[in-house]
Amino acid sequence: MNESKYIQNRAYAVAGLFGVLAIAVLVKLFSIQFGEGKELRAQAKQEVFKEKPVKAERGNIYSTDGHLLATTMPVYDVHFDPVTVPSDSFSLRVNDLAQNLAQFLGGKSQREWAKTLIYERSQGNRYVAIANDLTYSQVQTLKSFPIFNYGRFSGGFVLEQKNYRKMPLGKIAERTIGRQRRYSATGLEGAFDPVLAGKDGARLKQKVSNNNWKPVTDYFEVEPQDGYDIVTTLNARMQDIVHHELLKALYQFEADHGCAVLMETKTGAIRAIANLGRTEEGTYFEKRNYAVWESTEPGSTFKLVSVMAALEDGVADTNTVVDTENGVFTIYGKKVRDSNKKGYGLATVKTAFEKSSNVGIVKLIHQNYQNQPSRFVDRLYTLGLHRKLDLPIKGEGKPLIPKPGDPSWSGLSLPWMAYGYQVSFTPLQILTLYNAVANQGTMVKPRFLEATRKHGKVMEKTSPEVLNPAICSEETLKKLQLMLEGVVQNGTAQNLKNSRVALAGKTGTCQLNYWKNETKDYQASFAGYFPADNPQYSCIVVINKPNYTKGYYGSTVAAPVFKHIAERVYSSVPMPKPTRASGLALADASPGPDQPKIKPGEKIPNLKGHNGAAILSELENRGFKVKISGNGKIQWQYPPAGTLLKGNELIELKLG
Amino acid sequence: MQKILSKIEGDKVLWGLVSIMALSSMFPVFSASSNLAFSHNGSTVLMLAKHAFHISLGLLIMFVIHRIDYRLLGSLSRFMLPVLIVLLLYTLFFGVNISNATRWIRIPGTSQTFQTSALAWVILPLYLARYLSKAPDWELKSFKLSFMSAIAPILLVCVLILPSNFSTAAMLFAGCLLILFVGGYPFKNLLILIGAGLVGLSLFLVLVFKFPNMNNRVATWKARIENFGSDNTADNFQVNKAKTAIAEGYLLGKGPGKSIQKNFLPQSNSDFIYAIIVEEFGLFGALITIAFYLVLLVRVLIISTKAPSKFGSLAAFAVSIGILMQAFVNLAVAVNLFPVTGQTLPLISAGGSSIWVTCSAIGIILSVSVGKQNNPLAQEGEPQEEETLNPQEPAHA
Repeated sequence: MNESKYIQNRAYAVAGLFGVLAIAVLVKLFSIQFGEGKELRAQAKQEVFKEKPVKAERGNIYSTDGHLLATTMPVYDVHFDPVTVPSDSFSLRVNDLAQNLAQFLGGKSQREWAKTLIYERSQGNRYVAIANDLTYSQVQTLKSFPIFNYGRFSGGFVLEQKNYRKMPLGKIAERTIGRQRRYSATGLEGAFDPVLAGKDGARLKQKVSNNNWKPVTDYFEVEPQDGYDIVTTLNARMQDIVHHELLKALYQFEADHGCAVLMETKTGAIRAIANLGRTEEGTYFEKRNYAVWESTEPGSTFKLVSVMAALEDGVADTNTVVDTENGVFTIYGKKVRDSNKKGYGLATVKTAFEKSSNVGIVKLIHQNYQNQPSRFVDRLYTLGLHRKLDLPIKGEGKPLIPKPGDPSWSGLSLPWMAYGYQVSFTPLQILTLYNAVANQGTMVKPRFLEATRKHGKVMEKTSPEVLNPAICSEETLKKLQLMLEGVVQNGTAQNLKNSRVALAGKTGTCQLNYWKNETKDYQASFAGYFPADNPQYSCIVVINKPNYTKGYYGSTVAAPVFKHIAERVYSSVPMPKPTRASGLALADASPGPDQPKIKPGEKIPNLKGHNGAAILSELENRGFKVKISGNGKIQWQYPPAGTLLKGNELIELKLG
Repeated sequence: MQKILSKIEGDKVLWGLVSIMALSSMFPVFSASSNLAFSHNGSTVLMLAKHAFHISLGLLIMFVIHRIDYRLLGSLSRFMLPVLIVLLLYTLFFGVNISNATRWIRIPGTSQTFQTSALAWVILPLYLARYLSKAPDWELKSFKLSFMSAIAPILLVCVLILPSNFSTAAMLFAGCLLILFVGGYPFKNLLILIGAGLVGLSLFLVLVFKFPNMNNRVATWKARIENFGSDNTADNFQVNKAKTAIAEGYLLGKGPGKSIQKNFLPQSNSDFIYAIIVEEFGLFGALITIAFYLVLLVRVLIISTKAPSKFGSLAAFAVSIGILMQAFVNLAVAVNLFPVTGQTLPLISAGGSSIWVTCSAIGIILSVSVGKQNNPLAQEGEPQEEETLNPQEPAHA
């Protein structure tokens, strides 16, 4: 065989091998397409196309005076996949990266960062937490660091966006505003979550890479419905006052915790609610919603109920004399003492109340009800004090009122209840009662929600809810009011006498854990309302476990807070806002004296010459639709001045 | 233009085939680049331009080489072999590390990297073809005598490639065996070589398994071989996606650019481009692609057969081995016939090194075909006889 032929034959043999390989490839190809094909295609379809949720935008939470209390903003979590970084660039730059991280994030030193990153890489951890809750600009800085600047695949920079709920006013009312988390919902966020959350939509998407999906169609399969905004009853300015007055007192008395609530008398709207607990460092933060949650023995503030019952039942009057003896009353071997340690001798019920004589009030109730304790207890039930307030905020403490027949009921129960022991209420429950006295006997439910809005348009307004139209007779009420004023004028809270606003209320000093010996834990409280002659607001201040040596009486610890709140809140209530420069959002707080009132059901005044922006916000807040052109002062209006407004018509304004 | 066209010589069918392949490659490469462009903030147009540049430069290289007499190229291969070895050594120690493998060197003054092992596919076969056609029979018959000139270079080149690229080293070794086989190297000696290869390989494996930290590619090969056919590994993810792409393709495919799996398939524009071709162009595209390489094979056989000399005949065949082996291994990997290896699909995959080396090889084949045309004797009589009687070729060097 010649050589060339020889080469050819062998070449053909090799070519034949390739031919066989080609056939094998084709056979395998056929088997994939027609054999496994169906399953693979189904799997692909399932993996690649999915209806992905489209997040509905969560509504904002506003204060009643237009401040933003909670809103949603995007924040970012950064993780690092050290494994994906090529080894040479990792070892070359890990120290630079560590230095940048140490400088930018703090927390760890450069050495610690480097150690962590190297360790996690050696462990094969592909999801090392770097930082949470970063803003977009922080992320941009982080992205520029060595290694990270190679991006997702070579730099292992893993970025995840999440929605962060921001409270622009900081820690104020934080507990009451609350948080909505997956498994726990607190405060107003939790309470009104169904309203705020809206409804997520859905959209068919196609996967384009690991975590990226692109929409397939140009519409939503299910349109997302954004949540409503809610306008709370909270007033940012009053909240600020209440918060800081409470904080001042807590610092001063080194108390464990405290709360203060300000309620609008007529409507039950909670204008401010502060809950501060002490940290180990001695600072305070919104720890728990004590006002809503913490049910304790109220102490002397409860004497109001005892006296009310006695007056209503006609067993005594304000001038009925009780013998407070020398400040000690022994009953079933237990002693009731007056805090002045000597009693008030023969005193009227009014004096006993104003001076907060334990002996006086206990004897009054004991003597009149010991044979018919149910009559007293029933009165409390008739008032509805045994029921929770049924607040939207979760976690309300349950009131406790023992009744004859209970296993725990004893001869001591009635006298103890008379001055606020063996019963248990939350500060808000006590405040609701005091507010009823301020509100001429009508007990209204504390309210947190003013209205729901969508895109600035009011969707639903809430109105006051009456729990008990008359807690007692008008006559009794007058007497109770006089006595509460008397507490300030002649009684335990005389340090509140020279207030710029006339105050009325009752002190409470309650010994905590009194069944233990040698305890020095007290709860100082003050509940009342102002102005005494024409109540606008009621307020309760409860301060728990003040430093015994600094003071523990309701009158010295809690009452001054009440006074400061009242003075600062009330002094500014009738005053006009200084300027409009602080923003339109404030415009609805209290219209200035010269700003015309435009209300549904009334005639529209002549608006010419008024500030257009101010009127606009006033009108919109009242629910009118407004069409406006130009800017500056109002030149022309429709409907003309004097037209009766229905409330939902279109108002046109031309400015110039 | 006319002037350039007039300078084009050699096998017209091969010219046409290569041009069509190169141009057609634009479609799948452009489509499959979108994934890389998206994840690395790149631009698909830029990647297409890059590919077009690679192809153009490749065609230019092909044109230049085909104008050079293949005998001159054969002589050159003797000098190129040491250059190749130096480059491989340089790559091994100073190369650019991409995905834990040191296979590339940076071309000085550019950002372009070059995979040196690809060069071996042209230089080594050409060298072997020349040796096999020039060495006297008695030298070839003795393993000892042929060792220094033929066997040692093969082993040296393969060993230098082995640490960074097991599959290429193995394929190159196998390719060289085929060339030796076709070139008339005695069976007995081939068996010795295969034995030596196996011994060398096992020695190497013992070394790396004993010192596992020496080279982290070892873990990858181990896993690939161990996991072929089993589930739940990164490679099987690739295989699964490739199979899905093939299944999605059906008869006519989804159409150009409409592949979905390209988004998930790593290396979709190089190692797994065949799967994307099938997804976009269906069974039709699959057959056309295979046909490309089969026609290439047939043309090589024809050129080789018609070559005016034993060297020409062997050279054309030898340099085509690299292209064909890479092509069919790539196809076999894409359809999950072979375990995953990083072989490109010559002339179609993106990647400069592969395109340029492939074009060089085709340039050499064309040069052989030109030699045949220019040979007045070859044009007249029966090719087979002409070759043996070729007066221009000295019987033995």
